[in-house]
Amino acid sequence: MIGGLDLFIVIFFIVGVFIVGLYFKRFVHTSEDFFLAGRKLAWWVIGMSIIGTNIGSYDYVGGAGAAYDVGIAQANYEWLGAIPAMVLSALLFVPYYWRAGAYTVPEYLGMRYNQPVRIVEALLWGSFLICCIAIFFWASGVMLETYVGWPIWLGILVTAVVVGIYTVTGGLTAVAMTDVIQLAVMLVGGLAVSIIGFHEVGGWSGLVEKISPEHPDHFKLFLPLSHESYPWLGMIFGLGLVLSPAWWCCHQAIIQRTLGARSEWDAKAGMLSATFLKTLVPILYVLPGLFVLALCAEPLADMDQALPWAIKNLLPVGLAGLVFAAFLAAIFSSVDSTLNSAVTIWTRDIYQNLFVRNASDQHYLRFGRMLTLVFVIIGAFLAEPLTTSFKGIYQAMQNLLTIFQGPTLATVLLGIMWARATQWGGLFGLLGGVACSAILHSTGMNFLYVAWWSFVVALLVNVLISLFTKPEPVEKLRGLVYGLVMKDEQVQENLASRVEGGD
Amino acid sequence: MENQRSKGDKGLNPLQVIGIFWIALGIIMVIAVYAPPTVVGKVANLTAGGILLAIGLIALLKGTRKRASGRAEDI
Amino acid sequence: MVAWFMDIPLFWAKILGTIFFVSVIIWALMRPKEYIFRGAPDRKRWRDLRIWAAVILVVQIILYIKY
Repeated sequence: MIGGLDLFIVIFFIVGVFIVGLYFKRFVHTSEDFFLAGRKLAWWVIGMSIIGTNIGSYDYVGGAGAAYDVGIAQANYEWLGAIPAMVLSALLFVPYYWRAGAYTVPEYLGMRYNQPVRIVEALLWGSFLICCIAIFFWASGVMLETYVGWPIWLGILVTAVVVGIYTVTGGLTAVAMTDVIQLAVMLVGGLAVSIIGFHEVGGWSGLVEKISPEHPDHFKLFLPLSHESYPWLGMIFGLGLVLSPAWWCCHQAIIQRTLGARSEWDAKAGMLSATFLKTLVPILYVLPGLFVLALCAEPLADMDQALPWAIKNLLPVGLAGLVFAAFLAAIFSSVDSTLNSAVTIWTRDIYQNLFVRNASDQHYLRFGRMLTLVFVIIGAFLAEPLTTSFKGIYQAMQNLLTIFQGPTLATVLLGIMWARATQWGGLFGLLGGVACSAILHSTGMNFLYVAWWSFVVALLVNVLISLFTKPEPVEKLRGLVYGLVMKDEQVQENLASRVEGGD
Repeated sequence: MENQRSKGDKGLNPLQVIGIFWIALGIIMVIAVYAPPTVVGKVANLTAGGILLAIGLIALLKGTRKRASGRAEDI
Repeated sequence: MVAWFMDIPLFWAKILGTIFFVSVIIWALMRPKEYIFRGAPDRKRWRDLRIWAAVILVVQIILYIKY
């Protein structure tokens, strides 16, 4: 348990993030300010916010544990399983979304296909994101109990109040700017831990010498096909070609930042700048996992104890507080982004789309703020029942994500790239892919392969049904299919007012 | 509307706000150099504090320049 | 059949991984200049996002070949 100076640093961090977040209330005047930061975000803010959102507390604890267990192959989730997809997202999907003017991915699907597709996608993502908020709250409560000694309910309350208030008042601007602060703390903390770790093990060569004799595969990025969790073919096809593009091209919390960009170039550059930061992420948790393996004399019974062991045994006073603040930063940045994205989906795709269509802008701003507050309360109250009723809830959430990620990617990809894809092809492709995922999951197949096959099935069903149904009229597709958006001068003129530039 | 908003705005630029936060945290980390007994512990705290101070100063200066040029809300 | 499949050497993983990264580099470099700079205030070389993409992917190739 931390105390003294470390505790002071943690409390300073919590109070500081709260004050900074609250400051951005002055930037919110319209619903566009609230949901999309008034479309004023610069590329570097977008890049840092994307990575801040992407790194969760599980990446720290679970990721360090996995690195302790399998070695640098864990970095595949940050490199092969992210970078190519981010490049694809930056240079294909992001400029398209930005120009099409949608607030959410389901909103685009509704315009491109039909209302049922939009609603199915919105309900899937909306429900998933609410569950994520509850899980993040619980993770924060457990972490604050373990390291600071606060009861879990107090930890959840502090997180809910701090993150909830600045997200309610400051919207995406507050979320993005606090993400920037938090990512810097995470990276600086990670760098300092690396200095200590390398000093203790005798540099990179010392680390390799200590680990390799007993764990020869720990310094290999690709593991054999017989490996239970990280078969290389599953890594390339399941993670690299399906799960990762689905995450980086279709995840609302990731995409939303780029939609708030002040220009198309900033949107693209924001996602690409995130790739440079993403390359550094393994420093935060893969290296600490390896340090523990090299330095801990007795094997750990629970690999998730790798990072707590490192904090307790490696870090000096001061740095321990900063690293713990980085943990909290990972949770805060995930909670605020998830909260803002969930509210955007439920407001735009459900409330505004199905119930109150023509209200004033201020009405939707008020509704968005109120819904943020409601989700904070729901998340805080669901945190314990959700995580204690279902064993391995985090894993369950990951499996749920796998079930609809592949089909979502196939639906969005065909929607953007193929004008012949019809509304019925989109709907049945999506539903067929989700059904395929559920069936394959029940057989116990590795989730990487499930993702691949559900993507393929969704793609094939979409293509087949589209070919047998009436093509969509050109007027409907105008501005919605990649080639048409990029070639349509009228669409370009309508969107030209957004292109402002600036550094 | 944006111009009207910016004209009367006397607030800080976002970069100034985050710069102040990093500087404050950096100062605390530099002070924490005295806490660890080992040299490597001191060096680690100093490195973390130094980097936070440096990026904080850069953000603060850049934000101040933007605010002076009338772009108080420019992120 | 399954045994043969499982015995594919890791060397092929590196080949396939490298082909994957190189394909993305080629695809990124083929994006038109007009498209890459759209929305940028100027056309300075550092703003060419194709270079950003190529650099980061080359770093990946080096990492995957080495490890």
